[in-house]
Amino acid sequence: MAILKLHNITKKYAKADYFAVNNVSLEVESGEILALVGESGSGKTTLLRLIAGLEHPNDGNISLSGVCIVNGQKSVPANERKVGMVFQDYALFPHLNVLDNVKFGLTGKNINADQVAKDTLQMVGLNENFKKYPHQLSGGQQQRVALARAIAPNPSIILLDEPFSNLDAMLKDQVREEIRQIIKKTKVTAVFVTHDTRDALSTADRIAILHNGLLQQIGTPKSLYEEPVNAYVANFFGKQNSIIASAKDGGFLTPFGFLPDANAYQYTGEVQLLFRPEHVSLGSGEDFPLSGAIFKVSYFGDHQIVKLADPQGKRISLKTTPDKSFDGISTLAFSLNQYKVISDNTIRQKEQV
Amino acid sequence: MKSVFKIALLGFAWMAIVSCETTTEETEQEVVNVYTHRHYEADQQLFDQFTTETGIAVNVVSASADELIQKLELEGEGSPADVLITVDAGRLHRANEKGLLQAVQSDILNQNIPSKFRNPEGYWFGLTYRARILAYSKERVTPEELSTYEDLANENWKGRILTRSSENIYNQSLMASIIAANGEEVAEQWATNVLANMAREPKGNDRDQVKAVAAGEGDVAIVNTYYIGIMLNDENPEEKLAAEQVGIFFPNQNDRGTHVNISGAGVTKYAPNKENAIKLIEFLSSESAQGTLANINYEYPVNPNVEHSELLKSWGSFKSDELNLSVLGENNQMAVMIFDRVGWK
Amino acid sequence: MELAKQRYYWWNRWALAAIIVLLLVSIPIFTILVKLFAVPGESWNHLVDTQLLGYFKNTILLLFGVAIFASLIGISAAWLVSAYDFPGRRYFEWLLILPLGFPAYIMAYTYTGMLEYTGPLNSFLRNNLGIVTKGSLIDIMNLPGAIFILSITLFPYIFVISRSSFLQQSRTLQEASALLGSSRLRTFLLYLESLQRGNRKYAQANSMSKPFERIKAGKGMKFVFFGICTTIFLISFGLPLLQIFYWVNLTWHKVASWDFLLLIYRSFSLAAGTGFAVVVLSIILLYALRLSPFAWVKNITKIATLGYAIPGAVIAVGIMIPLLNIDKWLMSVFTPQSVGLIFSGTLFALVFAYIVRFMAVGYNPLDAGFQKIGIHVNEASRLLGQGSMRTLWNIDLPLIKTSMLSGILLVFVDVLKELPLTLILRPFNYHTLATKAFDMATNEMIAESANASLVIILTGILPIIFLNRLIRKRNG
Repeated sequence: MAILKLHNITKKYAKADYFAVNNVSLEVESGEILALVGESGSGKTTLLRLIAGLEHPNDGNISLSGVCIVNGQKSVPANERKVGMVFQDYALFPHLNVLDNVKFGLTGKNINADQVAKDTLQMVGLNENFKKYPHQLSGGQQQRVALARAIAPNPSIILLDEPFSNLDAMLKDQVREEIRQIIKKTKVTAVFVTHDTRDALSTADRIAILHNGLLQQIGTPKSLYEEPVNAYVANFFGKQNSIIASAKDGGFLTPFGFLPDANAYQYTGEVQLLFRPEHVSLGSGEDFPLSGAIFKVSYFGDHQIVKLADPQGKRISLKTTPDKSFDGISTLAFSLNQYKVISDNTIRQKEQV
Repeated sequence: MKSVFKIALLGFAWMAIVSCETTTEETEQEVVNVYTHRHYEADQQLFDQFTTETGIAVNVVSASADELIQKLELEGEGSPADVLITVDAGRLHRANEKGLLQAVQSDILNQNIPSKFRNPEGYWFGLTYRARILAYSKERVTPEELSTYEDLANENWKGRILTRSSENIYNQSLMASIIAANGEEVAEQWATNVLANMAREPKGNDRDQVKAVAAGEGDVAIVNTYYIGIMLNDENPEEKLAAEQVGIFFPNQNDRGTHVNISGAGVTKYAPNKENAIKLIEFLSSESAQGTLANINYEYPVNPNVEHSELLKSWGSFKSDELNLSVLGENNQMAVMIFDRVGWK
Repeated sequence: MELAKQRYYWWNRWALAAIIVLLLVSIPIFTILVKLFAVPGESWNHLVDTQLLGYFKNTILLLFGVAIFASLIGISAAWLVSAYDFPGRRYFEWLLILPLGFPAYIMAYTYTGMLEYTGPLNSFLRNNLGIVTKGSLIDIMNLPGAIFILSITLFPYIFVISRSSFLQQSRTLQEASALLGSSRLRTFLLYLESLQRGNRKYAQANSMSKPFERIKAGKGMKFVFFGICTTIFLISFGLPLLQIFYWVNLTWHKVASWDFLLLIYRSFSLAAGTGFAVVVLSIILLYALRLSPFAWVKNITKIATLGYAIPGAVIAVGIMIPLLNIDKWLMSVFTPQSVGLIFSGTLFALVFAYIVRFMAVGYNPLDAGFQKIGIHVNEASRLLGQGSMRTLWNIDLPLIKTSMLSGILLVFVDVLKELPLTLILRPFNYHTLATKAFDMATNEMIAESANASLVIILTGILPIIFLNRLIRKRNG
């Protein structure tokens, strides 16, 4: 069941000449972790703040738990939305101690606030220091307090803004896993924003990729990796080769030779062929119709990368097993196991206003 | 948070107390509301005395006469003011011209105040008068050298005259009287010549002119009498010393007399407490009140039955300009323009 | 789809409150603007013909003179205390800010008294050394004198900013100077900020975070520097204060009375009440701004701070006219005598005028305070289910406590010093320390006026010391 639905959400800041968020529609399933991924300026944080009620869209609807919270110019104020949020800077209240920070969202509810706060703190892995003040804690501890504070009131959804950006690389893997487990344990739905693909791949159930305010693609990490809708998405997950080819009868003419393809008749003129370095086979004979001059071979222990150059000097990378030897070979024949043809203008561009 | 809360509370409490204080004073009690340009301690003493004698409370706003007149104009019918007190006749005349005063008939006032010190129709009444005299250096000037205001334009006073800025009403009224006596052209010529005779640029107040004489910067200063009185009784011995070095000369004794100006009062047009206003002015013209004014502030009382203070007596009696004081107001604007034209700052 | 409680997102109670505050505060400002375009009268033409050029010339000379002289004192003193170590340096850092507590009009009266013929300098020369000068030894009743007086009362602003600039502990100190601040200061701030940006580039190229190191002044220089700072302090604060003490000693028995205590109490409560009101109104404006989704709201709320650039006497007129019209209307509805001038003739008008005049003084430190704590804590609180009012009370206000206190204190001191506006708008029998001092001074009783002046100066010093300690604490 979709707990959060965004429909045609559009946001433009007053002095900007482009849309920060442009006609985005998406749904978040109950209990899942969704990652909003994009470069800075892609609109991912704006989208998060729109959901929280800290910003207001120029147009569109949002519903949370079946309740319409944004409807055009009208909306439900942030404090009535039951949304939890962990800010990038944690935004702990500096004048309140750890326990009071967590208890802050529990006042006025008919529960034993003290107990709930303590339980939540223990769940996020803080068993002491309840009386300490935020500035007396380490960054990691502060993040846990912020998470506990957001979770404690039992929100419909929690939002995390760049939750891993302030952590050093050593800690990152561990924290990602811990946070994923805490979220899963509480069965809360979570949306988090990140610019780091690895954060998204390792933590999220589904990923939504934003670029220039437009939603490019949303899906499981696997589907995004394997079925990118365009080069932008494809590039987001590892190296992607892109070659320009022209569609002919029965195949594509590429700078590396003629690639037979029965579906080529569907295209006309110039197209773009996308394939990942690992989706190639090396060999010789008719089954390996493409070839190119070896430019460089790099050895990585568990694999090798061969770089080929076409006559114009444009390079592509091929991944192969570490045991292959390329001594004395100047050209290499290969075939594509899997590739994607993109015929129209590749990435959906920023819409000028 | 606690301390912020305390501050908030404290602020509120303060505000409440302050506003209560001003409102409680406006209860049933009989009052008279005074707009005054006079801000002497003697006045407050007299007001307090009036309250004790009559049970009428005196409320005072003090500011410059021009501001008070503007305030009266703005307030119009709603004005709370009953009495306007100024320190010169010109301003009373102007207030009257603007229709801000009302005529009062009072036998007591007519009896206490000689007719030359009050408006014939009873729009305003003088309370004290002061003479604008020449304070000369006892060392460098003999009284025989001095004669009239007009004489100060004479070449032999070059670099010896001291007086304050023309922005001051006392100088404006003096000029108004000279215009009345000699006409505009002669007055302007007089101003040009006096300016040329000045020992320094016009600056400071009347006391500063006396000190400048003592300091030898100039020889003759044009000042009001009571300032010298105040200086002679100052806490600072140096002030006293300075004042002792000057002699007092009443000019124009052989023709129209020394220029005098009054400090006076009028009942406002829309006075809500007209009866009390009249009572107050009558009180101020009474012998006892006039005695206080004469003794504390060294002004000349208008009431002829009141003895001058010892100090004033020591300066001797003098002949004062009999010019109708309304003329000072009528000529005021011309006086200001002449000063501006000749560059008397 | 079920509809929850929805509102227009840009609307909340704070927006309404802010609009009301803004309208109230801008009434006098607009009244003045309208008056500006009124047809000039005959006397204005006379002024243009004879005086205006002279006024213009004097104003320009005064402006440049003060700018140059005050900068000279302020910057050189700041350089000495920041760049060198010499005896007393730590004390001069705050001693040289104290002249801010001296209102310029009191400084002027005091210096006139000190330097006049019967003043202590001339009397001493005359009576003890037998030196008789023709006139005053030093004459300050002229343009250079005016430049001197304004410079020694205004240089601390420049001193504070320059010092922070030199120390390159820019952020905190500049914030603090903004707390001390005023609009005169703001222009300088902008200038120095750009200057500093240049510095930072330079610093990055060479030594990133090297703390500013003071050079120990040489043996001879040590005394020279000490001498310079002492001289500045004595001239701008020490000697005039001594003169005031001397006068107070002469006259306190005449002035000290129950009435004088009442006067102090009234002035203080008026100033504190106004400070409190300004801070509350500033908070309403700034909080509405904080919650508003529109960036342009910031420019509109700034209108509320315009009063600081308008002379007090002009504001008084701008307040009187609309309030009198309201009063007259009320009197036409009810009977005139039963109502009276309930707005224009009471403390309401005075406090209203103070608020319009000094809004900026309270607004700026609070603005800085809100910006410093950032918006996230506020957002976090609202996302935790607290309404905007509870968030303000539980989160924002506790975090900007010091800014609030600074705001109240700064307005307090400014109100205490305020003169022209008070003279015009005060109700019957109402005196403040400033009007009392002024009345006495115009009545040529300068020695007596020193009693009220002394209270004004001493209370003016309090917030300076408080703010200075705040700066110290922040800098660790």
